[in-house]
Amino acid sequence: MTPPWRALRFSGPPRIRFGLSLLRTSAFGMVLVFCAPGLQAQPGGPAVPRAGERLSDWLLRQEPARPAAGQGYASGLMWTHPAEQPAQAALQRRVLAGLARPGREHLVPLAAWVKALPVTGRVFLARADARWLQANPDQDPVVDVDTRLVLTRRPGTVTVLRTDASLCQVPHRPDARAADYLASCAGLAAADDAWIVQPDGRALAVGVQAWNAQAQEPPAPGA
Amino acid sequence: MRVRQGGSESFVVLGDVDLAASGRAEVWYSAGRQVLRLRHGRVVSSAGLPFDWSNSEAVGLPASWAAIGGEPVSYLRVRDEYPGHRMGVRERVVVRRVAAPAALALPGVTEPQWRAWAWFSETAHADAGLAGTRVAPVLPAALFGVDLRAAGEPVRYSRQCLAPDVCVELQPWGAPPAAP
Repeated sequence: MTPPWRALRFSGPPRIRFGLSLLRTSAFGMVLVFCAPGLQAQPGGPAVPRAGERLSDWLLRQEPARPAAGQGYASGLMWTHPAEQPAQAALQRRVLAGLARPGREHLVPLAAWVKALPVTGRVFLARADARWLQANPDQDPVVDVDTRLVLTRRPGTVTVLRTDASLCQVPHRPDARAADYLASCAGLAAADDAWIVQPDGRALAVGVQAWNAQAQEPPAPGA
Repeated sequence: MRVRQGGSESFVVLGDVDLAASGRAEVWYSAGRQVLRLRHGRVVSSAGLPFDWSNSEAVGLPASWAAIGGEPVSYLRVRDEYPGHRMGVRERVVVRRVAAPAALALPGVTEPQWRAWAWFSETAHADAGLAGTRVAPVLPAALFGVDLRAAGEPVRYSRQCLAPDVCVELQPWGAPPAAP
């Protein structure tokens, strides 16, 4: 049976699986500005979705439990389902195969880090705004008994992942670009490119040097 | 509610009221499946517009329009913007009472009626976080026409901008304004 979310038509750009398909290597090295706040368990545990309810209904049920507006980080909403895991596992294997190519021995630590990532089965969503979803029911997916939803608090940092798999956490600033975060982390001054993985799962490649600078969206909290 | 954006006019309907720690927000829906949330007449979030706000919070905003008198009042606004994931935008918003506009064409409202409203402007500046720091306004000034004589201080008209080139005029439709 086709999972209900497969029938959704997304109006935005094609969604990219959770960071794995965008791991591109180059002789000049690269960094990922990357994190996944949804992988952190929400204090008290996620509210259990009810089979057959819409995502909008589930989001509205979370409202009374949120101590203040903004505490539920919609951008980082994690919708996962086991049916998505096989495809993501295959993607992970392809990425690891790419990292294992000759000449990429310096990326062994990064490959180990990718290998250790859980295959979450995350499903990407057009928006996590309950009222917008209600106004756009073709984008408002229905949960089933295997669906897991996690709505975390908004983090205050952006995490930079170096090619040696070391992490550097930097306080989030609204107008800071990827290059600004790299500048806050030692050893990244020579990086030419970066991949930004936003908390909603979207990933984009950006130039971070003067010669390849471009208009770009900033990393969000938890990116 | 009648909505003018650019040269186009449309109507939105009040569909829900969201209750959150930050207060009660009216949820308005358009035929184009866009969503506007208003709190005390101010846009606090939108979805489906060319440029959207979300999670807008006001710190230090007086509870009523009537509390804003001769002296300007400043409050901190923190919000997110989409597209672009510009999140945690901090603005210092200055609200001041102003004279009624020189001219205003509002369907169903006469000039004596709208001149009887209390008018307020809001000017937003990037919050530099340093006392005494002056920075240029980030958005065109917002304008609000508030009926202080009616219960609940309804905002009868507003012009608000979510981005320098995304501005909307809002006019509640159907509820007659109080006679001057």
